[in-house]
Amino acid sequence: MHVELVTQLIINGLLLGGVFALAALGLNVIFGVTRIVNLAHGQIVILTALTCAVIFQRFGITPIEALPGALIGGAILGTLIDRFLLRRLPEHAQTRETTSLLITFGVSYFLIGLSLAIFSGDFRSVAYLTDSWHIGGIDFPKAQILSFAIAIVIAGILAIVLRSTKVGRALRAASQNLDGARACGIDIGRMRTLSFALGCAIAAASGALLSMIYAYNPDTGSQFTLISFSVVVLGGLGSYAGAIVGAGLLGLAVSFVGFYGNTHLGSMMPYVVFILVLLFRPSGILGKPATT
Amino acid sequence: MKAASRSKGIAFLLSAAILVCFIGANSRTAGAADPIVIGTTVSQSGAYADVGKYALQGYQLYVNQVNAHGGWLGRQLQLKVYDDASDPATSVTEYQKLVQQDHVNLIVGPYSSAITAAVANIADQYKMPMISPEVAAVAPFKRNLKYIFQGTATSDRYVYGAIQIAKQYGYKTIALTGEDTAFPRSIAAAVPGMAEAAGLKVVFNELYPHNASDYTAIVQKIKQSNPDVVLAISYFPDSVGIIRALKQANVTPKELFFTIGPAEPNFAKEVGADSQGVLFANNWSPELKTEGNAAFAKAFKAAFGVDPDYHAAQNYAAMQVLGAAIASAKSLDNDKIRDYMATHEVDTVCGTYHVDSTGMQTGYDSLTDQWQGGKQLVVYPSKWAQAKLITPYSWAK
Repeated sequence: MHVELVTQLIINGLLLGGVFALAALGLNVIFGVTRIVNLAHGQIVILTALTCAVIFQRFGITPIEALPGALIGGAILGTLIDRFLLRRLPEHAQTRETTSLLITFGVSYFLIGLSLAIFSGDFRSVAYLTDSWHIGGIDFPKAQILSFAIAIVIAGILAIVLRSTKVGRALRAASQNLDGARACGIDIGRMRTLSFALGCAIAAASGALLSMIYAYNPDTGSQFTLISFSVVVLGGLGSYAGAIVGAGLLGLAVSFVGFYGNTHLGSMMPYVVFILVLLFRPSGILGKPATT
Repeated sequence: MKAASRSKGIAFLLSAAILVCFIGANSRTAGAADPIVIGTTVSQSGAYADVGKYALQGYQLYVNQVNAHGGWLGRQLQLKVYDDASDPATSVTEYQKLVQQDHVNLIVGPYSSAITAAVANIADQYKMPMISPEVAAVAPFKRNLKYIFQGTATSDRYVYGAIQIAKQYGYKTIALTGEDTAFPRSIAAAVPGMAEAAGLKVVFNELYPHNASDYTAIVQKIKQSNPDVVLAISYFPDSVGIIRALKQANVTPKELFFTIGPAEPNFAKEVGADSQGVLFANNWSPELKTEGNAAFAKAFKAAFGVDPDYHAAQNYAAMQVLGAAIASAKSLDNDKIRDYMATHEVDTVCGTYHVDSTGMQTGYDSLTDQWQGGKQLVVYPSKWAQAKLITPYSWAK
C-alpha cells in the first residue's frame, strides 16, 4: 500500500513536471538565442488552448490532430511579433533587454484583450483523453503521459537540430557571440526571427496539449508564464536538458509537499525553488555561468 | 513684472474656467430629467469573469426594462460599471471613485463574496445602502454594518441539500475540500456541524489555494480517506481540475457535489460525459414558480442570446428590491431606502426577499441541481424538484 502510494506520488510529480517542462520549453528557446524573456509566453499558450477547445467542440477536431496547425500558427505569430516589434529595438543599446521586456509585457496584454474579444471570459477545457491507464495499482493519466512524451520529443529534436544542423549551429553562434557570429556571415536578424518563431510555435504546441489538462480563460495565461519562468531559471536559462530536469524536480516537490504537507505549501514550491536557485545557484542546475 | 502679471491673469482665467466647470457639473446633477446613475463594479476580467458577465447582464436587463417603462421617479436609469478585474482592492478604489468623483446616486453590490467583503464598509462609510446579490459569505454581516444587505441565500444553505441527500441515502463519510477564499471558507466552516447533525462524519478537510496548478495531491489524500461523498466548494476551473484528477486516480464516491462551478451552463460542454450525475448548488431555476420568473428568463434569452444562470437572476432580483424601496421612499433618500430594505419583504424572481437585523438573507432558498444528460435539473428540495436523483454517482463511460 505504502510503496504503491509513494510510486503514485512520484508518477504524479514527474507527469506534472512534464506539463511544466512543456510549458517552459518555448520560453527557453527564445531566451537562448535572443536573450529576451517573452512575457507574452503564457498568453500564447492560453490563446492556443482556447482555440483548441473551440474547434474540438465545434468540429470534433482533437488537440492532437490540431497540433500541426498550432505549431504553424504559433510560428506565424512569433514571426509577426519579431518583425513588427522586436526588430525595431536598437542592436547594442544597454536598454535593449529592459525595452524588450516592456514590449513583450505589452504584447501579453494585447493577447489577453484579443482572447477576451474572441472567446469571452468563459472558462473552457477539452474533454478528451481525460482518463487513465491503470497498471499494477498505479494510475497513468493519458493526457499527462502524452504531454510528457511530447515534451521529451520536442526537447530531443531541438537538441539535435541545435547541435548537428547548420541552422542550429548558426542559432547557437548568435546566442553566444553576436559580433563573432556576424563576422562569420550569419544573418543575426534572421536567426532572431527564427528563434522567436520556433519558441512561439512550441508555446502553441504546449497550449494544445495543456488544453486537455486544465480549465482556462484568457486571464489564466500569466500563471503559465510564471511557472515556465521558474522552471527555466531552475534548469538554467537556455539549457534544455536543465529545464526538463528542473521541471521534473518542481513537479515532484509540488506532489510530495502537497501530499505530506498541504496544497498551499505545494503551490508555493515553484517560487520557493525559484528564490533558492537565484540565491545559491544563479546559473541553474545545468546552466553555465555567464561568460560575457 | 509684465510676465508675472500675465501669468497671474492666466491663472485667474484658469481658475474661473474650472469654477464654471464645477458649477456646470453641479447644475447638471441637479436637473430632474437627468438619469439616476447606479454605480457598481463587476469582474469582467480575472478569475470571476465568466460568472461576472451573467451578474452584470442581470443588472442590465432590469435597467433596460425599467427604462422602457419610464424609469424610476420619472427619470431614466443609467448603470455606471467598472471592471474590478476580480480583485478586492481594485473594487474598493473603484467604489470610492464612483461615490466621490462620479457622484452616482445609488450603488449596488459587486460580484463575489471576497470582493463584497472588501467593499461592504464603503456602504456604511458613505451611508449609501447597498444590496449585494453575490455575497453568500456571512462574515460581512458580522461587522455591525447598517447599509449592506444580502441578496442571495446564505452560504451554508448551498450545501444543505447535498448533506440532506447523503443522509437520505444512508452515506456515512464526507471528504470536504474547496478554494481557500472568503466564500468557500465561509461554507467549509459550517459543513462539519451540519454533517454531524445529519449523522455524517467529515473524514477529510483541506482547502487549496486560488489558481492552484495541481489537484492530484489533494485528490490522493481524498482517495486515502475513502469517502462516500466528495463535497468541493469550488468555482469553475477548480471543479474541472478536481473532476479530472478524481477520474484519473479512479476515485469513485457515491455522491459528488461541487458548490457553484457546475452551475455555469457551459459546464457539461467543457467537461463532457463526466458531468453526468454531478450535483451542485443553485439559487435559482427558470422553472421556479416565483413572481415574474418565466417572463424574466424569456426576456434574458431574448436580450443576450443565452439562458440566464442564478447569478443573473440574483442581480435582477436585487434591482427589483431597490426598485421597490425607491417606489416606497418616493425619492432617492438613502436612509428611507435603507430602512425599507431592512424591514420589508419583496417578491422577486428568486423568491421572497427578507433580511434579519444584520442584513443577512432569510427569505431565499438554495436548490440542489444535478447534471443529467447534459441538462441542469433541480433534484432537491422535492417541492421544486424537476427530476429524480441519479445515484450513486459513477464515471459515465
